[in-house]
This record gives sequence, structure tokens and C-alpha cells, in this order.
Amino acid sequence: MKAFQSTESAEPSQVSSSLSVAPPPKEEEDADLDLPSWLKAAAPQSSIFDDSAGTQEAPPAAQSNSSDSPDWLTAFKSDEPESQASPVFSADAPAFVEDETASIKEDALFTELPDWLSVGDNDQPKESIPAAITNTDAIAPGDLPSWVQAMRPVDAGTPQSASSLSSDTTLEERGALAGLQGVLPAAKGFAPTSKPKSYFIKLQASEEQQAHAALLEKILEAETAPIPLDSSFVIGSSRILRWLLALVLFASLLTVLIMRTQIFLAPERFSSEAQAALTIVRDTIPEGAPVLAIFDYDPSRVGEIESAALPLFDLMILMRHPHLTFISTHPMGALLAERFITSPTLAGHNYQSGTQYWNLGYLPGGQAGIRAFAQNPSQTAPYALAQNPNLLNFALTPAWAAQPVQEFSQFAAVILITDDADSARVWIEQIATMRAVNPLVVISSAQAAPMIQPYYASQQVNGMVSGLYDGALFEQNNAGRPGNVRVYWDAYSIGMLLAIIFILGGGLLNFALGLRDRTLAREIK
Amino acid sequence: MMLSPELINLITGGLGFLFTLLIFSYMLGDNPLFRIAVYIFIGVSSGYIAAIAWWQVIMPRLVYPLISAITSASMLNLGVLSSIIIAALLILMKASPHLTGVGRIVMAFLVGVGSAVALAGALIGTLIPQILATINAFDTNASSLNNLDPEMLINAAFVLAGTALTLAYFHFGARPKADGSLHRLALIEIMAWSGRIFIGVALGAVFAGVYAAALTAFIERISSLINFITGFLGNFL
Repeated sequence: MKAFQSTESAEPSQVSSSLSVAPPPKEEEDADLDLPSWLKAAAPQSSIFDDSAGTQEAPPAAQSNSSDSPDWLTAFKSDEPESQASPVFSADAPAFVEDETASIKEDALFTELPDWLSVGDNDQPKESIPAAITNTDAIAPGDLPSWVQAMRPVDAGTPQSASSLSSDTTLEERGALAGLQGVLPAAKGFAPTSKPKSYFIKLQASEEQQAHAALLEKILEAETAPIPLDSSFVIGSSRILRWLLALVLFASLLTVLIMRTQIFLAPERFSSEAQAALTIVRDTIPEGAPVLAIFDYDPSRVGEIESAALPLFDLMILMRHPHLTFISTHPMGALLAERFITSPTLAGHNYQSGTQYWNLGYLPGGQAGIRAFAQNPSQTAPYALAQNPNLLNFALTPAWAAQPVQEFSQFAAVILITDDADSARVWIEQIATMRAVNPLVVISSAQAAPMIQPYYASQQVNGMVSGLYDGALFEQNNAGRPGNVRVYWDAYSIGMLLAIIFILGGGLLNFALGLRDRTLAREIK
Repeated sequence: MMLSPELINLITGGLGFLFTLLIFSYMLGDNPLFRIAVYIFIGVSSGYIAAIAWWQVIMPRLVYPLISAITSASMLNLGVLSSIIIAALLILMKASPHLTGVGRIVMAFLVGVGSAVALAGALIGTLIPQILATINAFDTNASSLNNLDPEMLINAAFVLAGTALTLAYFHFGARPKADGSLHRLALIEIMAWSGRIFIGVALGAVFAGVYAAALTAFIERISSLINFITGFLGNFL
């Protein structure tokens, strides 16, 4: 507020000083002597100070004119209080003040009458002059409404400005205005009171901040600095090592597969989940009952999945002759199901589409689709693919007319074949409330088995077969029927053994190298 | 012209043999042969999926019901199918950058329904059953504990300890000490350290499973190569 007041008080003096300047003192004459010759030649005889002095002399002239003005006008003037003495607005009342120059010009409109008006005024006879408005007829200033008072021009401070102007003898010392006085007057309140602050370019930072900055700089330097590569010898040796490992693995597997060796014994001990799956497909499923088989795996996993699933299906078809319904949320699932049922292992059962099995094809919609299928299978997947060796024949037939199933809970068992734990989770979650007490068996890839295992532990999955190991178990217990798993088993065992040897050998080698380096470092010390 | 099954088997077997070798060529690094094989796989898969979408999704689930509704003059079915067609068209508008906003309502509906189904399924099908299974392992009324089978009891203890300690590992709440450093409670720290063992065992099991799956796939491919070569040579010997 204080600063505000000082600004307001300074403003009028600044403005007025620009309009009226005191007569040039002796210093100005001296200053004129310092003007360059070209400026002296170009400058008119009367400077701007003369003009402004003339402007300053204007008010008396205006006053003389006003004395010639009619009485009615003087009547207004006579009643007007001395605004200089008692300003309408106090210094701290208004936030905005009208421009001082504008107010002066407005005053001049009333005081300086144009020639034509003043001439006419003199020529007019005195009788035609209307009666002067007396003071009693004039509106009392105190009766003016507040909003009119607020609109009145403010000329407070004029006397002060006059005094300040008279004392303004600032002499310009530099530039084109050198030698002139009071051109850019330093108004009261704007003059510097102290030596200006000096600002340092140097960053003002604490030691901690500088330490942090240094740390950041160090980190950035580390990011941009090139990392020297290890010696080419190390890279060469590791590449050779990789090739060597791959060669050993490939050669071992190739040899075993070509020779069809049976060195390793096939597994005999069933895990509890595999035993449960065996019991379900062999004993629990009623004869000729409908079974839903879900084919949710990628074609790249065919080798492993079919190794695990074919013996189980072979056993189930052999023992229970179920009616199979295939469906998949994978676009390739229908094709894989068709390949599965026509594979050499199952082809002997001579299952026919539309009588013993129905391939419902692709089920769109993700989780929502699965949920819809579980709620209303016949409406969600109304058509089945016709059995045809031509893969591009998509002829559809009504699926549910000949099927013994109309609701999801009527499936005697659900067999989910998957290579993905998420796919298994989604099916388990969405059909949990719909399948009632009917068993759910999961045939999974070995990579998904650890994530599906908890569902078996919580009894949400009733049986589980995973990977080649369980496939070998089922093939062993499949009444001696042929299969591929026994052919793969030796190669699989060799591959697993090699992996164990590589990992353990690599670990031991690293350990030995570490011991050697430590010993060397100790010797150097 | 009809191809004999033997010839079809020979052609498909030859293609399988060729593409297996092309994919195996990646052992030598990224090369044009590998890329050709990958591009062909992607192209064939895309084409087949497009055919599946048309013949197994659009035709049976939209076109056939629409024809049936029109012929039977079922206004209810016609209205439902019309709304589905309009929704599908609105989603198709997303192909144009200027009209992408038109399909937002339909997308919002799909996302909302999908989220609801997923959340409800996860809650009912995984979270609650898994928590109950962990708790019920020590239920004295459970049939397994009535027999006081020590194996089951130890298994249940391991499951409970593994669950609790693994969860403790993911507890990152800490308190500032006098020197400004943040540390978990000592008990939580010990539990978290123990939890790392269970996490390590779980990851080891996953790694073993992934290796076993990859090894089986590798064996199956090598076996198919051998079968093709022996079969091919068998025709000439």
C-alpha cells in the first residue's frame, strides 16, 4: 500500500513536469555550449523548453479568456471549490486515476473559447445575454451524486508538480540529448535511493546441490562415454562355446533319433494329477458320454501337445467311446482339432464328424465368448465344420441337432488342451460355475504346467497331464498301443541330461575361474 | 485333377522339410532364407485367419441369422441383428482418422463388458478359490487332515509358507531411520529374504518347463526331418 501511495503521488508530478518546465537556468546555457555543431546548426532557435514554457504560460491566458466568458459560465466557476486545495479524491481512495493531460485538455475546452465564439460574444449586445445563473440557482456541489463525483477529473497534486518542476534541473550528460535539462525528469519517488544491486553471473548453489550436480554430470558422462569391449579373444571363445554346445546337443539328438535307441527306461511313476486324469478318462466318464475338448494351443507346440494328449485320447476313446465336441478360441484351433482326430494314432477309431464328433471351430470374443459359450453353447456356437480333408472347405452344418448335449453342464467331462497358462486360467475361471461337478482335465505344455498346478491343488482342476513325461506315462499304460512318445523319450532324456551337464559344468567352470582370479589377485598384492 | 494322398503327403512333407531347414538357418544368424520363411508363415496365417473370420464368425453369426430373421419376419431378431450390424459399422469407422470418434461408444461397451467378465472371473475363479485352498489346507475338518497324513501336512505348510513369504517379498513399505535411510521392518526383511527362495524355485520350475517344451518341439522337428528323408529314400530303394 505504501508503494502504491508513493506511485500515485509521483505520477502527477511526472506528468506535469513533462508539460511545464522552469525557465532555463545558467547551467543550460553552459550546456548549449557543449552541443555538437551539427546539432546546433540543425536546432531551431527556440527549443522545446520554450514551447513547453509557452504551454506553462497558457493557463494565465486561459484565465484572461475566462474572464471574458459569459456570466453564466463564470457563475459555475465561482461556485466550484478550489480543487487544488481540496482534491475530490484522496491519495489512497481510487485505484485508477484519469490521465492528467486529458483533464487539462478538458479544462481547456471550457476555458479557451474559440475565436468565433469569443468574437460573437463581444459583438452581442448585453441585453441579449441571458440572465446569469445565480449561486442560489446553481446546483450545490454537495448535492452531486457520488457517481458523478467519481467521474470528475482529478487535478490534485498540480501545485506539487509545479514546485517539483521548478526544482527539476537534471542535466542530460550522454547521448543525443546531452546538455539538455529536464527532458527526462527523474520524478519524485523514481530516483534511485541507493546504489543498484549487482547481480552475479555465478550460480548460487549450496555444497550439497553442487555435489548432486557433479554426481549427475558424472552419470551423464558415464552414459555417453564409450564402453570398451572386452578383448576379442573372450568373444571368440564364447561364440565357439555356443556353437560347440549347439553341435553337441544337435549331434546327440540326431544320433539317438536315427538309431531309435531305447537306452533310457520310460517313466512309470504317476504324479497325483496324472493319476487323477487317468482315473477320469478310464473310469469316471460314462460310456458314450459327451466330452468337450478345447484346443487352445499354437501350431508350433503340436509336437509336444500331441505327444501328451494323443495317448490320453486314445485310451479314452478305446475305453469309453465318448462323443467328442471340439472348440477353440485360437483361430488355428479348428484345423488342429481336425489334424488331431485324423492323426495316425486316433485314425484307427474311425471317428466321423456329425456322429461321433463335432468340430465347432473358432469361438470369438475372448473371455466374454467363453462365458457366453458356457451359458448357452448351442446359441453361441450353432454350427460345426464338416469333416473334410480339404482344409479350405468351410462348409458348416448345424451342430446341436444330433448332439446329446444342450447345456454346458451336460458334458460328462471337459478336457482343456493348452500351451498357455493364461488360456487355461480364463477357461477355468469362466466355466467354473457352469460345469457343475463334472471333471475338468487339463493337458498342457510343460512350460505352462507350473502355473496351472495351483488350480489342481485347489481342486478347480481335477486332473492334469503335462509335457512329454506324462505322455510317456499314458503311452506306457495304453495297452501297448503304438505311439511316438517312446521314440522321443531317449532324445528327450539325453537333451535334459545335457542341459543339466551344461548348467552344472558352466557353474563349476565359473567357480574355478573365480577362484583362479582371486588367487592371482592375492599373489599380485 | 485329383492328387493322390501319397503325393499330397510327399508335397506337404517336402514343404515341411524345406521350411524346417529355413527356420533352422537362423542358427547362422538373421538371413534371407529365414526371412522368406517367416514372411510366408505370416502371409499364410493372415490369409487363413481372414478366411476363418469370414466363414466361422461373420457368416454363421451374422449373415445366416440375418437371412433367417428376414425369411421368418422375426422383428425381434431383426432388431437385434440390425443393432449388431450398426455397431460393427461404427467400429469400422475407426479405420478413418476423421471418424474414429464414432466408434467410441461401441468400444466403450465392449471394454466395459470385457472388464466386467474378466474381473468377475478372476475373483470367483482364481482369487477366492486360491485363498480358500491355502486356508483350508489346515482345516481340521478336511478329509486329508482327518487321516493325519504327514505328507499332506508338510505340503500344506510349504504352500502356506511359500504364499506368505512370497507376498512379504512384494511388501515394499519402509520407515525412514534417523540417518535418512529407508528400511523395512526386520521381520518383513527376513520374510522377504525367505520369500526369494520360493520365487527362485518357482522361476527355476518355469525355466525347466520352458526348456522341456522347447526340447520336445526340437526333437519332434528333427524326427520329422528324419522321417521325411527315410520315407523319401524308401520310395526309391
